[in-house]
Amino acid sequence: MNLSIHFEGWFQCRMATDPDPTDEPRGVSGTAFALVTEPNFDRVIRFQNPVAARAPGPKVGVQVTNVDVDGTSQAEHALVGARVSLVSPAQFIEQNGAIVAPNTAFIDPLHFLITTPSGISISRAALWDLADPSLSYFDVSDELLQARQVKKLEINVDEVKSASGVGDPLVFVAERVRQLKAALAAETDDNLRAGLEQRLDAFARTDWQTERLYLLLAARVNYEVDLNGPAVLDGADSLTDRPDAERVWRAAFWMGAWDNDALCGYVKGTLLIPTGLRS
Amino acid sequence: MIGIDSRRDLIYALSEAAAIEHALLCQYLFAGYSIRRSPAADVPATRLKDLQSWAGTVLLVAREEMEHLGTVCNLLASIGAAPNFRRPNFPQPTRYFGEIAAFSLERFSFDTVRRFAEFEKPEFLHLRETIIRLIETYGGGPRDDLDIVMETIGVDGLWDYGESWILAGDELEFATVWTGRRVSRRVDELKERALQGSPDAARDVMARLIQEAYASRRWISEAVDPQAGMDAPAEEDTPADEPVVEGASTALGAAAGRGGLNAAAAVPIIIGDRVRAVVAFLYRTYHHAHEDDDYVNTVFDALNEGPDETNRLARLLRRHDVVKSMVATASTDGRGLMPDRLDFSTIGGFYRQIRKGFLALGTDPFLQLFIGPVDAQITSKEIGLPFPGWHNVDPGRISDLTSALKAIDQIIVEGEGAPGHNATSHYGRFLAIADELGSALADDPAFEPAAPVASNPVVRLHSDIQPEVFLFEITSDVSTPLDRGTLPPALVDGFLKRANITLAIDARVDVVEKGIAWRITDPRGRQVFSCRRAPKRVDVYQTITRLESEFAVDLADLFNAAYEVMLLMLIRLYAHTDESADDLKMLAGIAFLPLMTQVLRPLTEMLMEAPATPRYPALRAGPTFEIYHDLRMLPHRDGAWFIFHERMQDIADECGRLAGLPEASPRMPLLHRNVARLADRLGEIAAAKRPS
Repeated sequence: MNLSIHFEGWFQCRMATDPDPTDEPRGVSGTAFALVTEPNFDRVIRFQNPVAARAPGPKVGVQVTNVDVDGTSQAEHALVGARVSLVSPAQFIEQNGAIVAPNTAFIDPLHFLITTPSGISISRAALWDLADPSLSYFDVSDELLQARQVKKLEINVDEVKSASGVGDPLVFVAERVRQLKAALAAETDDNLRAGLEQRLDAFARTDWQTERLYLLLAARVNYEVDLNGPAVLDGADSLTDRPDAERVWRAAFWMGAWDNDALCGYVKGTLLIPTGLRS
Repeated sequence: MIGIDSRRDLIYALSEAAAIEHALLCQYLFAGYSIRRSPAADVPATRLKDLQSWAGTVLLVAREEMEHLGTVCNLLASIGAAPNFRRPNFPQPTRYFGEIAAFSLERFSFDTVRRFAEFEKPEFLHLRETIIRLIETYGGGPRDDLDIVMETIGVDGLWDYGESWILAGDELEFATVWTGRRVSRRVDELKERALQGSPDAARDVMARLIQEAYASRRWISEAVDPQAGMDAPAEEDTPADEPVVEGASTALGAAAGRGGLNAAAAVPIIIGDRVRAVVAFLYRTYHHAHEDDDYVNTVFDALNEGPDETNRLARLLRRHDVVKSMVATASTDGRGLMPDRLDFSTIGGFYRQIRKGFLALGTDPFLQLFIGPVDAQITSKEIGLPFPGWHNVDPGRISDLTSALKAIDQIIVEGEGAPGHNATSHYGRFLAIADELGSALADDPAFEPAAPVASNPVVRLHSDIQPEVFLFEITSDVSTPLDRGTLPPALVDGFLKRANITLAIDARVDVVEKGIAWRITDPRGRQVFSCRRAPKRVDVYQTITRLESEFAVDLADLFNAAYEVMLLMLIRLYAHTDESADDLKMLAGIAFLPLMTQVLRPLTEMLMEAPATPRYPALRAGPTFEIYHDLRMLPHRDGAWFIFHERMQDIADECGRLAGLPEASPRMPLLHRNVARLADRLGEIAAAKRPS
């Protein structure tokens, strides 16, 4: 039997974008930049607990939205509503093409963690080499990297617009600008005002960056990665369909609706897990 | 014919253009990366916002200069020539290229950004300043002056028709007309032709601009859609010998090709504090190749009207650099076996000469100008950009006269701006930064926008640079105070007026040779000037900064090695022969991103944090952009990969060594691993090329 854990929600990633180098701390040449009041970028993909979350902006948090077993929905399943996280410091790795080609980034480390208030904690990572878990992406072959890279880049995707709530990017941006202007009018702290002005200035630009903002709001990249590391199944004994820790799990998900203003994106996907119960 | 009148001339001019673009982008990168962008105790958050914005803008302009360099290489390829990635080392004095300002690697400052604006200044504004200076020098009746203004702006600005209006009491009164052809031609006929049978609508536009220019005291211009209120002629009415420019990136270009009026501009002539007159111009479309002949004939007609002593027009015209050089060229050009010297005062003006050259040669029925294979060129597709225009980079493909003119127009417009739209041009952007920085410095004179980076850092004294670059002269005797070790007011005043440099009050004066030579160093050693006494004057020179800290020298060598590999890869890419599509993709996939962004950029930033010399501990080094020899194309397709691999491996090894030193930046290990990865990739490609 197969357990399909469906998840989605907004994530945060405070990182510079090309042509800034990967380790650019503030953002200057790309679309993303740290506001004057914010700490340096750390490039960490956060499904929960955002750092220096921007307001207005999406509420960060990725949850399990549904669970099904062999295609049959289990609305009362114990994992529905569970928090989904990537174990830190998950980062998009591309290095401006030094490691993999632009727009084909992989995520490393890729280590899913699902937790419930009742104490269930399920986690599993993708490792480059089970025999040597310490290997980094610098040390492995292009073939192994390819297995983790973006499978497809799509633009103007209806599902991205509807799932994320972005809808029409033009309307979304107009509303964000309205919110920012309202926030600026109400803000009295000079430093916070400077940050809001930076965000508004970015929308006022008329170069390629502006076009990219609209484009990315309705675009997505697709991943399909095998999770092959040691599985941790704390508290999972209570599940009738206990995940199989021996066989490989598969994470299939997309990340998109990149809200460059808030440094957030939307993730939606499924963890496909064989269970200990054989059908 | 004058100026660019052969393929050889065009290749020469484009090669110079490539060198200029290359040198500009290095200077912009140097200044852009010197801007302080991280929170610091002495930088209020509100100011940090400005700094981030300025850095982003300067670097964006640098990227557009990279695009221009690529476009010029494509233009070279289109006419059968090799790309040019050669340029002189820094610094180079004023007038190394035409009349434009000195090329110098300087940290971001008010002076620096003003110099950048001068590079990009619209030719029209430059002409205006030149003419006003001439009028102020010679004086004379206002109507005579305006004749000269109309003639000079009209000809050099490539306008079709112009009028001048002079202030009489409180009213502007019609004074003169200029028709864009020989002054002896019948005015009505030419006016009718310039206005394409729509004189009323054109005059309405002109009248409004004249009033606006007068009221606002500034240059007013706009592109005019011929379909808006004008009776535009059908396309077939366009003269057959007039090339149609389709799809140009500007509103002006969009209007071109449909005939009718394209643009109008009005310029107030301000002498003293008063607007004394307004000149306004129209142009209809792009110009005929034979216009050069008309121009020279016009100049000769004017010069031949009377002896120089009595012909004020002749004297004025002769003082005008552009006219002077063109007349000299026309009268002294021998058999034309070698290129004429190209005289230009602005970069936009230089490209207009190239444009005219393309027009002349591209419409010559006896010359096949475009002989280079189109697929030899490098565009967004070959670079691997997801979409044209990504990163503000979109070098076009050149296949014929139309696409060549479009590419040149794009370069001009991005530099100078289009009529009425120069806020996003390089000139407009630099001017805006200068205004904002000027205000910031007025609020807080101690505000320091850049890291204390040395001027013109070098590892080695190359044969094509001088350790001292002449800046200006001061005609008063300042030697006695300098011998006492103090700054004389005349010298401080001279720095400000002649070079726009504000000398710190506590700048140090060292006597190099009593009564003969002195050295002035600002308090943190960032800038060093040499002064030498000459008969009846003192000459002031800017000096280079020799890197003396061992670590800075090693870092600079590393930077220059990576820079050299990048240039060699670009040369091979832009001059490729029978490379496979995969090989081209690989070349582009390394030379642009990541070599520029993931290797050279971090090294630049590391250099700007490294002490330049033990003598001034606060003084930082910077990227030296040194070219050690005349870079040539690696001629053997497969062998080139071996050389790329060997050099990249050397660079990776050196990154590894430096990463182990205590002075190394925390960023060095990542850089090392990235470069090592690139070296491995190049090694794999080279191995696949190895003959079996």
